[in-house]
Amino acid sequence: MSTQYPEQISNPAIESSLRQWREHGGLHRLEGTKCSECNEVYYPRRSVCPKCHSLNMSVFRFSGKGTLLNFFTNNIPMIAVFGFREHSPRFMSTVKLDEGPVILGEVIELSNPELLKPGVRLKTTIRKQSRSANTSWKYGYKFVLDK
Amino acid sequence: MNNKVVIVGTGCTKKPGKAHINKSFKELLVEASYEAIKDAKINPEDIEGASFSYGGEGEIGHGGIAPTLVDALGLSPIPAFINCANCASAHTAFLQGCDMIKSGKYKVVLVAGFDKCTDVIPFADYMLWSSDSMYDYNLGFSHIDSLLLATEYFKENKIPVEMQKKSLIKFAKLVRENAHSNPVATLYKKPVPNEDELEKMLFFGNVMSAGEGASAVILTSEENALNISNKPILVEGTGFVSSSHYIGHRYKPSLMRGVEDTVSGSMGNAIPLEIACKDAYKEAKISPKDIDTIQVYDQLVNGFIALEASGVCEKGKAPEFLISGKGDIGGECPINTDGGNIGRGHAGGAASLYQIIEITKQLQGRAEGRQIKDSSIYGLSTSVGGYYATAIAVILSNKLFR
Repeated sequence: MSTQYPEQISNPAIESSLRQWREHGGLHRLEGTKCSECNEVYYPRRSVCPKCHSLNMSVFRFSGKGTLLNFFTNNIPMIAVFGFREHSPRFMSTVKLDEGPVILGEVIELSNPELLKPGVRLKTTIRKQSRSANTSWKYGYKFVLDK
Repeated sequence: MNNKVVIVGTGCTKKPGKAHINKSFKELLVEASYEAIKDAKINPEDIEGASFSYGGEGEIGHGGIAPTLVDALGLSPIPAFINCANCASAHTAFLQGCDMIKSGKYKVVLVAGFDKCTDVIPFADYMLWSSDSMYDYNLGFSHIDSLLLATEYFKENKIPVEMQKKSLIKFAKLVRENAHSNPVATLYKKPVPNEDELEKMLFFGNVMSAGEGASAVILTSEENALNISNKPILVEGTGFVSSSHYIGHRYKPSLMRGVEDTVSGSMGNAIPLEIACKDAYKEAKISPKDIDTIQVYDQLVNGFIALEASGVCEKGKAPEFLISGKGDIGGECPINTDGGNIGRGHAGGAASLYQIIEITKQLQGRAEGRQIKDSSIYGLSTSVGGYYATAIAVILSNKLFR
């Protein structure tokens, strides 16, 4: 599908610079929320605690460190998301952050893909994601091996 | 009031796994809906309310699409509700249609869905963004990546590599053989690849044909059923779970109230669907062993996960179940008798209603393709929206006329 577009930009149907700005804490700084009543932590951020239903949520910045649970190598151009085709192959992963929540992320800068196995330690870093519809770059977190 | 809901008519467009660029979403919807009206032998004016579902067209520029669809069908001024739940959209619309009948306010209801995802180019990605959006699609993760990560199923259940391959090939062959005989299916009359050919295909041939189409059913109350049809199909039980689109949440099932922290969730199992199925069995007062045919959302390894979530086979045993022939057309519990998403094809917004239509026709003894055994009573249709963000189970039976 994204192969129909020679210019690799984000899907214009969901593009929003305002939303990108509003969520930058989560996307750049790995900020989620902590419930001030029951101390449960969540990522992505929330306005109400699903456990105790408190509206008293505060910003919680995750360390970015975690353990790889599972990954898959995405190297099929036809199903690459708009704006990401040039980065194939991509190692799409689920990672359990040290603080509890499981998040998804792409693992990059692997000198040897064999190093990627469930259980390996990872940490987040900030990287370019894709270009916006207005061609400026969007940023967000990705994972690297935590050596 | 113990008055159940019945299905008295069905209709759907052919080859939902292909794009139908010569037809607008209105044309597809009218075709399916009027086939259902004709099948039910009712007058269009008998329809008192509608419940619609869609994927693709209508997202932008139409805003509230319900009146557009009512007008296209020539059914104004009936009230109509619109439902979206990704690939479970049509099941959601179906459940709403059932509630409309059970409320007593509507005597006859039309449930219809369509998918038109090729008119507007970004919508070709519509199925890929069955997700949270900002924290996944925006980071280059699509719905298909979720299904690729579901191979965790094999690791979790320690399925040896040879068995993984053998069972996936078996599943692909099973659904393609069913599709081969089904005039509605996208792979109708297409030669079924042999095992060596399937081995060379992507995911051993377990990739769905995504396309466009529309499907419709006519619902009425049990009380009214025999006034309309001599083979009404009863809705015996349903289950409906909303979890979350963010796939990280699959690992924390306790986010669903009532599920203990100790329950282990992952991409390799489907706790939301397990709960939906249990609710449906409870309402229908039956157990998994009573199910005579099942429809699962088949894409990559998800068919196995859904089969286990339904309880029709034990955890970790889907590969054995399939290889032993229990899911074959003549087996213990035939699976995806019309070919499923892989063989019949998948028109997202309408897809899960195709499943209900197939079970209906099987239980009525008038399947378009291969027919299950005459002694069959109960069928279970399971659907997934996103990666188990929505999970719905519907149990149907032919008890009213057996």
